[in-house]
Amino acid sequence: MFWAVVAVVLCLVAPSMNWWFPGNNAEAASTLGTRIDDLFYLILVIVTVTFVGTQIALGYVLWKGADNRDEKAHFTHGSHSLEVIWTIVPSGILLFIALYQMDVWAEYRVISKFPADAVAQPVADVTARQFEWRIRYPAPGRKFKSQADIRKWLRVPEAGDLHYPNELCVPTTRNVLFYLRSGDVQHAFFSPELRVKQDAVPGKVIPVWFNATKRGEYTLLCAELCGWGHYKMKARILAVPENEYRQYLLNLQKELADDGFDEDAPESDE
Amino acid sequence: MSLRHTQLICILLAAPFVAGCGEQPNAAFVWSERTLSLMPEAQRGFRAEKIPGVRKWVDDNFGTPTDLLAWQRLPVNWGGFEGVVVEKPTDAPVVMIKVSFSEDVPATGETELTWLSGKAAGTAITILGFDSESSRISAELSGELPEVGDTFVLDLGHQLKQGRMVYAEHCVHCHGTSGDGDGPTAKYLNPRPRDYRLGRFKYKSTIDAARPTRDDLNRIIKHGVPGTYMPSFLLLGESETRAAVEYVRWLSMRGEFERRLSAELAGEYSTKAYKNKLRGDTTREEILAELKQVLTEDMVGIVDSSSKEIAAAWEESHDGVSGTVTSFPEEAKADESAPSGPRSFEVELDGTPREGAHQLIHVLDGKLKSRKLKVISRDAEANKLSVDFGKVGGLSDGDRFRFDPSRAIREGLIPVAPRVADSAESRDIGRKLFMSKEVKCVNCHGASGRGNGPQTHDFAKNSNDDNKLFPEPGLHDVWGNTVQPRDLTSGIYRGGRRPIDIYRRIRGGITASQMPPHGENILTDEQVWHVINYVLSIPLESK
Repeated sequence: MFWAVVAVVLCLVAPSMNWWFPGNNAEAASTLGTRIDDLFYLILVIVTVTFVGTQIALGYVLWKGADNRDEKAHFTHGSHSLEVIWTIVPSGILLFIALYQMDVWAEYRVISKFPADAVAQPVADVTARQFEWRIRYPAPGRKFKSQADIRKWLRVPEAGDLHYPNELCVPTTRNVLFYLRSGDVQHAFFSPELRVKQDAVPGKVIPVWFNATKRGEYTLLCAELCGWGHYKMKARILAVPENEYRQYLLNLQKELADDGFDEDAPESDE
Repeated sequence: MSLRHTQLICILLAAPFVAGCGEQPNAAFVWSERTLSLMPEAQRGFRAEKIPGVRKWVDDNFGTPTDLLAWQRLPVNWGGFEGVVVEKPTDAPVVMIKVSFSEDVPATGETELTWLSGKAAGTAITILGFDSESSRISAELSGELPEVGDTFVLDLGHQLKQGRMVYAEHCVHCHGTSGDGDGPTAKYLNPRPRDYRLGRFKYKSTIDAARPTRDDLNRIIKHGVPGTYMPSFLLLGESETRAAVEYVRWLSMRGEFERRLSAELAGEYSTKAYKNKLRGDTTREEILAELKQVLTEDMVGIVDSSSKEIAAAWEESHDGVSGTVTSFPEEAKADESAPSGPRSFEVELDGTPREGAHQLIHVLDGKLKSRKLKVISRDAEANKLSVDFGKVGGLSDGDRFRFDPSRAIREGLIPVAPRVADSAESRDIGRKLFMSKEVKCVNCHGASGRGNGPQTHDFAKNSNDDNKLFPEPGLHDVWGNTVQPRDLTSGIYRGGRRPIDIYRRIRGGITASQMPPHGENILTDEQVWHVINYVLSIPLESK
């Protein structure tokens, strides 16, 4: 009984202690992440009901059987109808899960199901390389005219591009899409709080989208053992409101345009 | 199986757990090849007569990785809190000493305390702890008690120690224990990791062979060196980055010091020279007598001059003294929109800025962050600064600022004209300059900027080896590695891609690896900007 109580208490407090899922109160920080979590909880409920139900049934049978002193135990071999039932019922459950999660999966991975506003205006081009993340933003105010325009931008750098390592800034409460690629070997873009995980495969330029619901500084890790410096590939994703995001890019633009010229500088101070 | 056999097997199985995983990592600095080429006596000295050799001179002043020494003549921010005894200590088995510091010092456990003045000046003791609430240090003292007014440093060298920990975690596997760029993973890398021991660095804001500033190293750690295996450590904390910078500077000084001492002896007392001499008429005894004389008479002078020169070279590349605003006049704060002009306010400086007729301060945080303001005068006695604010209002208490860094080491590397706006015409002028015979970019970078100019096919002379030709064609850096001129079509700029970064590469060159400086006599400022506009446009051409 003691252990049963411990197990239940642990399960109940786990989310608030952040033992369950990464993120504040175990809540996903992105829209799709919340739905992925919901799927997880659905499966958890199904599994729990099944587990607890079968254990109770088992306990009942044992309890009853131990009390039954009149009947002698006998051996049976196979029950066709029972086998059909325990094959069809779990298959039905699995089929239900497979169909139920399909739209989440499609939105997560299938480009044609991506939100159109994100697809039209990607926010960044992220390159994973041993052992860092290099971010390239289009020039602030650069509007992509078409998908062909985006493909060209991905192929040929532009003069106004902003480059920065290990920090990806995105606006909150808006669908954002970035393109992911690898500069060398296979890496994986993983942000636990945003529930985003996507392999970066050499030779491929992979679109990834998410919608950060809350302002915050989220972890960005490499989730594919990519070499001896794998552990160094820690970066951050800054999710900030739209106006701060614009300001961030303008500040970055100013920093990257530094020409070292100083109007007030004296000729020499020696 | 008998009991004895079972016991034996158990012991054999347990042995690996007791013994651990083989050899423990060796926490010693690696000696340079040149030091190891010296006669054993020159390296180790003569123990019987107590004459130190090169290794002892280095070890006595720098220590080992686990026991670092702070050689005060070197311009390193060792870290440590200076304090003073304010009450007569209580006499008990454990002495409680009431002290005061000029800054907030966190409570500590067992740590080191070095007396700066008083009877025990110069000695270090291990204290039991410091309690920040009562500001008392507890220690077990065997000798006399300190007096009121005695000064000390608590935890001297903590920044260097922290730097070593950061270095051990993130840097050592490529850059090596002694900063020789030969750590365990180095052999898989091309280009090779930097060997700090020459005191030469490639991507910096200073001229020619001048040392990099702390800011330069800081930027490299934060932004990495794209196109090489040096990644960005942007998420390393500020204090860790600062500590790592200090440790790298210190390692570089150690390497330079060792190199200079060995170089002094390498000509006459290398194993090779020794054998040559023996082949002549000289006997072993004569050579040793001569060596003893050099080690006893000349070495002190060599150590003194080498360390002073190294210290001066690093000191030169300082970033400028920083300070904090302690008291800014209220009325200036109240009316920020009106032109405020010159105002004077109280400051606290972290050091003494160089005297100069014209000076600027760079505001580091607060409302006027990244503004540059002209200093009118400085009253060192009253800690007052008078600054022309023009029309930008004023500062607030607690704002940080920094004096303009030394200009001598940046001679010619500060643009006198702003960047020429990028345009087709500008790129075209730049392209013509790039191709021209006077500027000679094409010799290395090639006509299409691919880094395959004619000079990459020539055999170069090796100045480290009697000007013999290198066995392989191509350009070589001062470390003897082959270097590839930048492929400008790749859009990767190792030293950074800001216009000022590329300006510094062109104006100052990368003299450690054959990129020559281009002074005013070759390109005017305007022309440099044209070249930069062209260079930055090369990767933009549709592939």
